[in-house]
Amino acid sequence: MSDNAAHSLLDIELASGWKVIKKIDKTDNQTGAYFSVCYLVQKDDEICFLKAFDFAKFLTIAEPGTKIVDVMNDMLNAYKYERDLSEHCKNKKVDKVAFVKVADEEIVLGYAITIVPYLIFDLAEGDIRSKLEFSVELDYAVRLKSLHDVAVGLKQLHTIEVTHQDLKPSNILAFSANESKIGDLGRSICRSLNGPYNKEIYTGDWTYAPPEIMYGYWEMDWKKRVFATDCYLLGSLIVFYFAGISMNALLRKHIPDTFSWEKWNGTFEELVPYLKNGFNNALNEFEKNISREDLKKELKLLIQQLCNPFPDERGHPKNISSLGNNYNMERFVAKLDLLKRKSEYKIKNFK
Amino acid sequence: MANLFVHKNRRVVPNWRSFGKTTVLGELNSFQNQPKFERIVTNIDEYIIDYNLNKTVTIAGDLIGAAIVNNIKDNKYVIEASNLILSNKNIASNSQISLAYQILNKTPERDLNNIFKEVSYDSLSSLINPEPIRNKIRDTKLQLINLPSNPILYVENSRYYSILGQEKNAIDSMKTALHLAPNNRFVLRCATRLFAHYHNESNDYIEYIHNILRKSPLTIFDPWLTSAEISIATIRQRSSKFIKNGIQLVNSKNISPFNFTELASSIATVELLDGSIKKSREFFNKSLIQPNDNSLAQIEWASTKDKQINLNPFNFDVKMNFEAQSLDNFQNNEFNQALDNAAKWFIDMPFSKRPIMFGSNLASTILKDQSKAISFLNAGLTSHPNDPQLLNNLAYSLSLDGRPSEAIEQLNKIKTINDYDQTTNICLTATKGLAMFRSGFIDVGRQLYLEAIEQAKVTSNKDLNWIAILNYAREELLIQSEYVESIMDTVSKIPNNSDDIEITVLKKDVIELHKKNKEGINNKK
Repeated sequence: MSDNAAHSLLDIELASGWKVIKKIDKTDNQTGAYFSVCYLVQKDDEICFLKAFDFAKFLTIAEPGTKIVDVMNDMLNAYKYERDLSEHCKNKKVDKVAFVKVADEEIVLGYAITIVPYLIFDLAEGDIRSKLEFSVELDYAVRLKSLHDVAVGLKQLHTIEVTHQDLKPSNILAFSANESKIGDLGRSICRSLNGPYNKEIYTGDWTYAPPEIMYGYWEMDWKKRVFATDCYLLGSLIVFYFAGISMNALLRKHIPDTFSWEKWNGTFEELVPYLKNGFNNALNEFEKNISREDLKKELKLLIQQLCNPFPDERGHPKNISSLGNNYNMERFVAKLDLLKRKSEYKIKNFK
Repeated sequence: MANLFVHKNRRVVPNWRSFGKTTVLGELNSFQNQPKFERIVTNIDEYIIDYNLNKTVTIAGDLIGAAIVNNIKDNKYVIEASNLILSNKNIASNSQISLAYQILNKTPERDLNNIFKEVSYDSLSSLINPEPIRNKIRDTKLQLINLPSNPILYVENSRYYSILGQEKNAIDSMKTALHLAPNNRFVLRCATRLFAHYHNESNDYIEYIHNILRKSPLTIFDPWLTSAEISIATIRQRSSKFIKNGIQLVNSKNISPFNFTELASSIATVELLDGSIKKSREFFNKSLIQPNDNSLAQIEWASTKDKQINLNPFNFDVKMNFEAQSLDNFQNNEFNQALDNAAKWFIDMPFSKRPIMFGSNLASTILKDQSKAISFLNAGLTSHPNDPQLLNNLAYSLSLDGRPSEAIEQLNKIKTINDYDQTTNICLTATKGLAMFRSGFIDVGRQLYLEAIEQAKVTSNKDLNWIAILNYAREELLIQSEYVESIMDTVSKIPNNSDDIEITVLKKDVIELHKKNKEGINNKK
């Protein structure tokens, strides 16, 4: 893939002073769904992650029936949105989210499209999946620390009216000293920015989408819908940290095929009892993955509140019964902080 | 004498099974043909790429999770990832392991017929052990502490209570389910069965559930509920306002034949009872396009009323079809198979009295196997403790089995005879007579039998009168009393080929016994 500029940045010293030292295979646009090429870049002793936008890609990913101009527009919007979102979040104490360090563009001569816009981020050790070990009890403190970081990051985003919409294990970045940050805000929605996905019902990965999206009974109120989605996605992440599969996978396991999102043709009202029952069984299975008796009940309750399949019943009960945002993260941050400390204390005493 | 299993006017009241079984049977499928919302089709390529770059248990878990969510289970990488998890069970989570098994089809879908393969009348009592059912109630209650708004759990508990014969708890639990989900097919159909099951002259259960069904906005659209409403209306001897709409639903081409099978059968039953044989056959035929166990059993019943209906339920691939098979076996004089299927029918619906009455009658009178009849009746008494008909039949079988003191013990559990319907009262009087005969109190026994015969005559119940006479005759013959000839004279007036096989069999037995007695006397001479 060296026939276009975005794929030819290796060993180049960018105008911004960063030297491109390695191309990362993983996001080599193999799926066709995205249009970025990833590299490692170095400046002085610091190594960072660079995401180059492959603007030549519009020729190959434009599907029959779609206009090339529209595809190009999507690409530009995606790039601009990530760049502007970083600006929007700067100086707002958002420290648990991996933001853009540098947004710039490079001219690489010799190609049809010579301009390669790029974004540089802090380099993580990997996504959280590389850190999770389900058999290690001592690892509970690590997992809870990471989840607490994520919840804090999500709360920070919500405070500045940004909803992530695509929270999933591969988007949780692990840094040194067991710090986690939320990555990939490309699918997020910011009320004050004209993002590429603002008008869509759901912008994240459908594999992780909350049940109301899967079944098509989403909330019409935009704000309620997007915050309810983030709430579910945080719960789903907790499920993954302990059960090794997402909440959707767990739920689907416990919903008979008849009522699955791919088969159900009936009304939502008819579905409610079946979904409640499936959720009930999923919670019971989730609990069985937790070996620590002192955490079982509290983690199950967290999932019950965060992942309730019905948006009106989702969130902390005290938030639901009072005025304001049902999906406020404050109480969940506090709960995860407490659980994290409990686990850390247990390890210290154990030693 | 035993209470008869009467082929009374059967209605298409929904059968009630566990939520899991009902789902597997397809009775909760959405009847709408078109989805309300077209979900975006997603692929799992990104997950596969991640997995190929890093084959760890965690990433394999993410991949198989994506596979089940998107219903892409046969992808080769998904299968590989499942195997990877299973070969690293020590570092995988419980959910990853069970999902991997599910994807590799190592936990096959429930084959409902397999569950019943081992069931026979010999295992009836052990299968209806109240302790596991009590444990299930406890477990369900514990689950409800966390999720008190789950109506399915209340329905399940209601069913467990009904199996244990705890009517009030069963009703209360179902009312809570109805409160939580007043417009859900599963809840409404189960409630219909429960309230019809406990319906009697002293309560208003049938009116209660009928009102709910009539008022539900779903009843007019959902053929499974329209059918339930029509059945309840016919039990109440009222004409259903949903019949016209039901006919339209059956004739519309928007609903699959399986989804309207019970509705067609309900309409056919109404037509049959109204004497519209032609229309009845038309709708029974429609219900047979893709029947379920309930519609097949209904046609099997209808075939006793309309001889033109000729059905072999074994020709249909219908799960849990034990009632229809049992009745069909019986009509074809395959009594042992009929008894076997009656046992399965009961295990399938352990709160129901019909399979017990059917099986115990068959075992006691036709097969003359009192131990099997006792086994059925003891199993039935779990869900119907102190039921006068079951206690009567148990006492009858115990007496015939040479255990009259145990029979009297059972009869003493029945409080006041006059509280029950005439047929039961007559049977109880006759059975007491039998127990007395077998205990050696001949005069008291004779007196009770004659009383029963007289009562049956007064009520103009010919069959009951004949059965009482035949039972009494057998007892006089066994003790070779002086009244043998006069009672045999009465026996001779009973037709040899009655419609009721029980009468035919009893008469044949009595005549043979009389013949043997005579031969014995002649030999002595």
